[in-house]
Order: sequence, then C-alpha cells, then structure tokens
Amino acid sequence: MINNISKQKIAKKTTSTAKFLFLALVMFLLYFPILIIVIQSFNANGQGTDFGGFTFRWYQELFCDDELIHAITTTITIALLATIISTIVGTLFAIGINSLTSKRRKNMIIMNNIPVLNADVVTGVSLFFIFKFFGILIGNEYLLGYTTMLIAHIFFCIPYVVLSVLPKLNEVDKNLYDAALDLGCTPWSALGKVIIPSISTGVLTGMFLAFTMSFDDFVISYLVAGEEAKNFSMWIYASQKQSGRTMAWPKAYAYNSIVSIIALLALVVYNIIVFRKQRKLRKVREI
Amino acid sequence: MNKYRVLATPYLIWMGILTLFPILLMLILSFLKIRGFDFSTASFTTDNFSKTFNREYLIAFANSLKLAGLATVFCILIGYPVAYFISTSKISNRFSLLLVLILPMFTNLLLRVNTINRLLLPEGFLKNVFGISLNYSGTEAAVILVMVIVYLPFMIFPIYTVLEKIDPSLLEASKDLGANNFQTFRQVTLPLSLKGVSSGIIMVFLPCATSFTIPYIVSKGNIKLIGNIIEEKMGLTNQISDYPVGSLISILILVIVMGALYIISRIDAEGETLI
Repeated sequence: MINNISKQKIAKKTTSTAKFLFLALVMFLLYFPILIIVIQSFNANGQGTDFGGFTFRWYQELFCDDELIHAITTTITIALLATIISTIVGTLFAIGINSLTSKRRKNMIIMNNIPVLNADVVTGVSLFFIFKFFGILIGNEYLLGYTTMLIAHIFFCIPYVVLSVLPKLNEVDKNLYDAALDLGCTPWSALGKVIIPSISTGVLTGMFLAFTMSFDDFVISYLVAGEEAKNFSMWIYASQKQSGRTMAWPKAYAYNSIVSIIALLALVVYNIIVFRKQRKLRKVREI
Repeated sequence: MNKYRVLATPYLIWMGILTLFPILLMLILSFLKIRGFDFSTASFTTDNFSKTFNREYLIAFANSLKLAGLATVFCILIGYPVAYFISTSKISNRFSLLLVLILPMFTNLLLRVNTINRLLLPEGFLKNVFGISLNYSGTEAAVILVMVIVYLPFMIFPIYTVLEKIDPSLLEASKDLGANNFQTFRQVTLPLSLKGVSSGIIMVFLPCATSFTIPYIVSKGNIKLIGNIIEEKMGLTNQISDYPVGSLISILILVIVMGALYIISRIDAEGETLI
C-alpha cells in the first residue's frame, strides 16, 4: 500500500517535470530570437556575426538616422490614431450590432469577421484597389500615402474592438438600463451613464488588441502606403531587399529592444494591478 | 435598447465600401485586359484565367498548402498541450501566463523572422558565440520553423478560450462515472475543445499559406508561395504590375476565406475564439 502511494507520487512528479520541460522548451522557442535581438543591439560587431564587445553606439545612432526615426514616428502616430478612432467607433458599432434582431445581428457579426479572417495580403489588395479607384474618381492619382494607411489601419482594427465589446454587452443588466430610463435618462445619456461603464473592460481589451495589430502591421501598410509613407516594418523590408544596408540593422535591434522593454514593463505593471485587485476582492469576501 | 440600432447602419455602409465593393472591383478586373488602372482602354478577356493557372503559380499554390499545412500540424501538436497545461494550472494568475505569450508579438515580425533565419546559418553568431553550427537557413524546414514560432500563440489562444469555458462539473461527473483521467480527457475535454482547435487551424493556416514575407526573408526569394506571386503582380517587386491576375488570385484565396468564415459562423457565432 505504502509502496503504491510512493509510486503514484513519483509518477505525478515525472509528469509535472515533463510538463515543466515542455513549457520551458516552448518559451525558449518564443523568446530566444528576442533575446538574440537584445544582445545584438549591444553588440559592437555591426555585422552581428560575432560578439565584439558591449556598446551603446546603436542606441545613439538610432536617433541620428532620419529615415529610421521618420519610419518609427509613422508607426507610432498611426498606431495611436488608429487605436483611438477604432476604439470609439468600434464600441458604438458594437452597441448598434448588439441591439439588432438576432438574425441581423448574426449577419453583421459574420461581416465583421471578414477582415479578421481574411488573408492580410487580400485585405491589402482590396484596399489598394478601392483607394486607387477613389483616387481616379476624385482626379488624384497619387492618393496612396499616410492617410490611406491610417484608414486601412482603422479598417482592420475596428473588428477586433467589436469582437471584444460584444460579449460584455451581452452581460449588461437590462434592468439597469430600464431603471436609468425611468429615472429620466434619455437612451443617449443612458449610454454614457450605464452601458459604457459596464462594458469598460471589453473596450480596454479591444483597445489593447487594436494597438497591437496596428503597431506590428506590415502587409496591409505595404500595399496601401504607396511611395510616400513608410512605417518601421516597411523600413525593415526595404533594408532586407537592399543587401548593402547591413549596417542599418543594429539600429533596428536597438529600437526593437526599447519597445520590448516598454512592453515588458507595461505587462508587469498590469499584472501587479490585476493581482492587487484580486487580493482586495478576496479580502472583501472574507469580511 | 432598440434606439441604438441606428449605430449599426454606418458600419454597414463602411463595410460595404471597404469590403464588398473591392470584391466586386476585383471580379470585374479578373475579366479585363487593362494597362495599369486605365479603364478607358480596357477590354473584355478570359486570358487572365489561363495566365493564372500556369505551372509556376500552381507550384506556388501547392507549396503554400504544403508548408502552411505542416506548420499548422506542428502548431496543434505544440499548442494544444500548452493551452491544456495553462487551463489546468493552479497558478492564481493565469492571465500573466497568457500575457507571456503576447509579449513576443511586440517584437517586429520581420525582425524576428530575419533573426531566426540568421541563427540557422552555418557560420554566424550562434557558431562564434555558442559553438553551435546549424545549416537550415533558406530551406523549407526553416520556413516551417519560423511559421510555427510566429503563429503558435494564435493556436494557443482559441484552444485556451474554449478549454477555460468547459464546466468543471462535467469533468467531475465523468470521474464519478468511473472514467480515469485519460478517458475523461478523450471523451469529454477533447470533443468540447475541438471548436477551439478549428478556430486555431483557421487562424494559423490562412496567414501562413498567404504569407510572402516569411518565405522571401528566409529563402531570399527561392521558395515562392502564393503571396509572393500576388506581391509580384501588384507591381511591388519590380515595377511591372498585372492587376487582373493579382485580382484573380486574390479572389481564389477569398473563396477559401469564405469557407473559413462559414465554419466560424457555425461553430462560434459570437466570434469569441477569434480574439
């Protein structure tokens, strides 16, 4: 009997060790390339073929490269604008979709899913054609640029906001809304006082998703930006195509490391906030 | 809340202009002989079909199916256990485990692809610093490896979403009725999680099959997938564009996407596994 129990314990331990090793391997796959990028950003050997000592050179040169800084500015401003606009508009659209009859609601969700599921390259080609077509209609053949890129980003961000907000709208207490109307709210002031506050977590998730999608986009931007605008991904792709520009890479590594560290910090702070909230909730329950 | 219905109308118009109208435009372009975007000299033709179904493009299409298919299989084999372990873990802050999977997405995709590929070179950083020499750069295996690393989180999330929602009392009931852990997994958990797997397959397979940056960066243009052909036809690799053939290939991909859309609308009407 005792023997049996210890055998079970050993079996349990081996499975949990195997589990741990497996998860560690997956983390290694995901994070090793990122670690290499961080190391390369401090590597004095600009070709990156060997470690030639520690340097901050690339971080300084990053800010002197006008073309690169311009691309980074484009990436950040487009991401911020697209996130703000798509979050506001997407939330309102979601509220509209949620109040439709169930059949029309379902059809709208299917339509909303088209940009989510569609291949980026096909979305990009479609938008390219429509912008080209509008350009001809209004007599401006060189319409493609920053604005079309921004519209494209808003276009592919909205569906993520809608998808994040819809499930929260389902949970909104209808009685609360009716109570607001009884107490003299118009439907539109009830929107701000009752509905938006109760779906705020969904709105935040949507906002976060929209920013992530926009910030890292390459394919759609590449197709709709024309010759004028260039974001960070497009700058990398252009460097990839010109073999003589290897010296530009370490600066990209430096920028990318800065972004990774900011994202990591944001993640840690977010976790602390969530953890504290949970602890507070637990304490309240204990009382 | 019926008053809010008006809010859906502008979305319908917006999507009509930016989604449905371009599809119509691409359908028209597929049947035109046109130079650039000059409709005044365009004429009707069916030549674009024979141009599209040539050997080179069919090979690219087959390559897309093969490489993306293999990448998807590996993503399921790795991603399902990861999602399962996270959903069954006792760690109080599961959310942080998921955020660990999101963090890599903040590293630029192209930079990651390039870095992974350079690690697979026989001579380079890995050999000089760690003494390990790999020789897979530029191969199909490298393309698949990169696809798996980049798209793995898109397999894990939908499976996790579904596993998380499984009612624990179902698992208890199964055990009370005499099933062991493995039987419970096979007869309760696995069937209930298949819709997450289906979403995951769609979310991984479609972007892999239509990717043009990954094969281009890894193989320097030697391996061509269908996305590379579209890039070429849109006049982005050289200045010679062929919009009708680009449209036709896009339409063919759209047909597959519509199939995926139908599957999603059947298994997950609210689209919860897509985010």
